[in-house]
Amino acid sequence: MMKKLYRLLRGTARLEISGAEPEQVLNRCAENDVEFWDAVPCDEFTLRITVWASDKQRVIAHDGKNGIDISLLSENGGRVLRAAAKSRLWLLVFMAANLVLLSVSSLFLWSIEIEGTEKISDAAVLRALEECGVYYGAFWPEISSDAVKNEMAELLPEIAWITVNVRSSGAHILVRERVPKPEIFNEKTPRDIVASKSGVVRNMTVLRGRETVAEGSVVCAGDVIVSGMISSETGQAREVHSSARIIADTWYEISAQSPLYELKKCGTAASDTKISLLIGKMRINFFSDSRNEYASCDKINKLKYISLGKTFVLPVGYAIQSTTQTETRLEPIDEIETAERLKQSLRAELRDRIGDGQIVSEKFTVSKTDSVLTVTMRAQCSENIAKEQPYDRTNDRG
Amino acid sequence: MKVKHDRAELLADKLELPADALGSVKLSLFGRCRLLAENHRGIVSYTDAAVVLDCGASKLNVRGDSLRIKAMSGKDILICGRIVALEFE
Repeated sequence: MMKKLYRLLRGTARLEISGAEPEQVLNRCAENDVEFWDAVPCDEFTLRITVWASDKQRVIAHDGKNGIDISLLSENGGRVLRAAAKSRLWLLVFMAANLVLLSVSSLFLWSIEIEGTEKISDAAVLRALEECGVYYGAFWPEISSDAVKNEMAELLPEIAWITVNVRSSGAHILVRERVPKPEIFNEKTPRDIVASKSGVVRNMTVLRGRETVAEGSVVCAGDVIVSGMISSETGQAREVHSSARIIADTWYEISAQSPLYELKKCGTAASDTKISLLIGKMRINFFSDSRNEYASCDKINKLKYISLGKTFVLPVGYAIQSTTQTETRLEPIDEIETAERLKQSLRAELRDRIGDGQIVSEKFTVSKTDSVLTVTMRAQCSENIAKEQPYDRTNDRG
Repeated sequence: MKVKHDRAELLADKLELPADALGSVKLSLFGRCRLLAENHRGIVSYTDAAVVLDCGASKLNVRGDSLRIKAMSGKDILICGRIVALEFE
């Protein structure tokens, strides 16, 4: 790239050498320190070379000597470029002004990207950043990443840490949110294991505590399965923190509904485009009425700042707001597709409910009333229904 | 010329000096695509398939495909392309 630019500024000339021994010209060039490159033999008696425009005359001076003809094929850059630039002075001034503007504007922040937010909204982070001095148009050499990090920790306690990486006129904010502390598990507290759901107990693995039901028993949600009160050899009962894994067969019936008719958007021919010019934080609207003309519409906002790649961003841009009027119509739904979609969502809902458990069997029924499509899922599952609960003497069957 | 060159090589041998220091041609082949010839005396002929260099007492015929003279000065020349053979005539 730099080589090409240097050649363009200095100027080059492409010459064609023809004669009995065109190589002799290359030897003369080498002897006289005339730099050449791209020496391409066209045929046995013709060669093409490129030399600096300033050396062109020294090579052409050999024209006609020893039966060698040298002709100029083309000349690029250098003097040709300067001559062209003289007739386009305003273009040059404009380009120079742009270059100055680019180099100055790259000292200010014109784009802020936030990454890593899940619970906190980007808007909240942007507001807090603005208080720390990181905002659109901020002079970034004054921004201290450590200072921003400390201030942000005070403003947004939900943030565990934050880094501000500034590259030219763009700031990349990397956020890590604080992970909530897990509940402290106290093993000394006496606890029972109860059934979280109704079902038939198929397998019990009791690590601590006393079983109060046998395998094959039917349990209802809330029934104590493993008691935290165990008998001791010394005759005195002891309270323990029960621990067990209870696999039971459970049954579910879940329904999902969808209306048989739905409102659908249809675009019309009516549309409106509003253009604004953005200079820094200033917005110049090229329209008088900013109100929305249509009751129902689709709106697309396009914002673009003039930039060279992602490195140099000018504080000048434009915003185009396209509004298309839409009409809504009540149309019948595709019943098969909707039923399939509802089945998928019911399966997802069931998986959420059973966690690590397994679906043993499932059956779907689809029914239709006047305006509603109902899909019902009946499933048998196998899952762990053990749930810890504070020890309660009234629940103790033993 | 030939006698002169031989003398230079003989003298280099006697003085235990590198031959190229006294004007003998020095060839450096980088892989099979680049050849740097130092202390040459000029190009005799140049085509896509062969570049013949004047090395004083002998001529060096560089044969290959798509041969190009990448750079050249009064004493050094860099030839690029797919070099197949180097022959002294």
